[in-house]
Amino acid sequence: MNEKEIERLMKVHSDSLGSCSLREPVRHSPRWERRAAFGFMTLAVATTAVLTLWPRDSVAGTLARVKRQVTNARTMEEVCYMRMKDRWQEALHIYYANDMWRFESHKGSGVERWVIFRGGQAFESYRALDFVTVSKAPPGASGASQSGGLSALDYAKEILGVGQGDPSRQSIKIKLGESIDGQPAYLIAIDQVADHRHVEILVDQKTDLPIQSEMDTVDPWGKSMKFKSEFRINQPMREDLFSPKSEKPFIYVPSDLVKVDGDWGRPIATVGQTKIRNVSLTEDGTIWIASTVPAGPERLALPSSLTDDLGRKYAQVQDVLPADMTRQPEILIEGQEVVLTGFVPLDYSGPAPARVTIGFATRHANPSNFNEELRDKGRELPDKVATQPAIEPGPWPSYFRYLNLAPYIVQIPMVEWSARAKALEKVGKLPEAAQAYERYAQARYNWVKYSAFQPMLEAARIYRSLGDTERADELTQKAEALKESRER
Amino acid sequence: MSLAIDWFGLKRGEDPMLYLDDVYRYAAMRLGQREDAEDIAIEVVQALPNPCSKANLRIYMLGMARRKVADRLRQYRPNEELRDNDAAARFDHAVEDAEMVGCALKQLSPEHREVLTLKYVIGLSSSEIGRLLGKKPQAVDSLLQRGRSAFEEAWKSLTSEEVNL
Repeated sequence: MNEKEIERLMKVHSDSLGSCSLREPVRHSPRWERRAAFGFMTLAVATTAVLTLWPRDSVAGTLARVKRQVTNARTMEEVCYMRMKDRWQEALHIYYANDMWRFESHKGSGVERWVIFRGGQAFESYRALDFVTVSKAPPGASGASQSGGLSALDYAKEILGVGQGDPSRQSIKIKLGESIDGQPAYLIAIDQVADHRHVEILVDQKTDLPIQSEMDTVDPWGKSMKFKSEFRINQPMREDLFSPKSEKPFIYVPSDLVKVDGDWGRPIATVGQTKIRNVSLTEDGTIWIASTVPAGPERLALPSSLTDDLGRKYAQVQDVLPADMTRQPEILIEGQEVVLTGFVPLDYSGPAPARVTIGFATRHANPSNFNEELRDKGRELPDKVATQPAIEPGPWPSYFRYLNLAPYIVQIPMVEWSARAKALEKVGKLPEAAQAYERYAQARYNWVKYSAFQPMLEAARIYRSLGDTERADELTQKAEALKESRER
Repeated sequence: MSLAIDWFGLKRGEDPMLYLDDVYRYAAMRLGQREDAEDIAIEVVQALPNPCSKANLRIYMLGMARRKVADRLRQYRPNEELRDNDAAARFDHAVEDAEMVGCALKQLSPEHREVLTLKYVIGLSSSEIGRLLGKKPQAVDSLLQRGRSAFEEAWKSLTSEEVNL
């Protein structure tokens, strides 16, 4: 990627931010007012776009009627599908009534879950986990009543693609004479050529309510993508859909972990401004260090290396920042931000370590997706902290659930096997690295099936370099089939 | 009218509103959030007289915004509109370059994000960036180089074939 390309991408992003809409002295209005204003502005833009097209009055009038109907919707149910190779697969099921929302996600076996937003709270349950998280609904979360102003209209507009994009780059046409189940209907076709997006919305002619929408688009690497939604608006809806009932225990995310466990208020050690709150050993030998740091963009002392009393080698995984990851800035401990740093043993056989020694560097947190070379390694510090890790019986520290980390917990096997595989390859233990990539592939398969293809190809690459062509070919074939299937 | 008054009249300075959008975009890129960025932009403009006779007014305003952004970051982290908070945006609708760039930028360190923003969004030179950040131009160039590499890496990881739910 050359500098010009980076410049182009940054420009694209910068243009998408638009300009500052505040041109007069700021009046600290509630956010919902701003949202509503933005909604009206978007509506105005969309209407302007419509009016520039023929037949102007007809298109504008029709769209205005649809928007009005959706705005006044009392209930909404939507089923979203995505196109697999040769079939539609249900990906999301959404319910809305009385400012409450329920989302059921089926985007992959490992990420199956439901989320309910009601009364300013979010209830989230992953099928793969044995608890339900109850947290404050993030600002802006659909249906979070305290965020205000996010109406059914906003949501439907988002889905339908109406009013999105530069009006000079989209055309909207209406085709009459359609029918669905014998009922008269019409079709709104929106083309955003520059964005390679074509949206068709089938609308009930009698009620002006959308019944179905389909979107054809292209992903960033040029592959065609198709989505379909079916809507049922203003139909009776069961109240219990929005009742977060479950046999699993409900874990309430506390405003401060110290309230749940007083030990968090007694740091194990302090390095600079960083407080080490917890060091845990999981059943697979991973050591998780929970530190807290003052908020801000400065580099601070964070764990950067780990050794144990048995001389094992460890690979560091990405840092986890619960407040960032869950977009809940209130996840603090005694007013400080939480940073979790994991160290995975390259080989975990034999007894558990009785003692670990943590090294530190003044660095930024490395949240994700950085390869080893690009991590901010910062400056090593002379400080060392030696401690006895607390034993955790499961594959992740039990306090993770109090930090609203369910979305991360379901990814931990992938995170750990990926780090282990890369580290083993780096130190030249190739047979072990190939096996670790296979375990990484299995973890990915358990999450979103087809995503396993990439670590499979990594394993195949190493087997080939070791001369095991048969295993390499077998894995390559399997990976290609998975990739093609897009199976989730 | 005296000559002196004419002279002051000619030197009366610039309208801070000229740089409102620069400040807004800088804050938006740093915070990843529109509403607070707008607040910061208008607060910076409001804090200055109009016309304002500060030399290098744009840099001065960006410096003010920088401090306000740091204050905001201390108070909280940016929030995003959520429809389905397992980052399904990519799966659903977020397929445009602009949004992907936003995702890539979020993976950079604050330092890299800031320097790339100042260079490619605001269009400052290395020496102007240096003045703002308190660094030498050579240090800015080297920071930019690392920022570009980090961006490239983040971009590749996002646009690779990997599923990134």
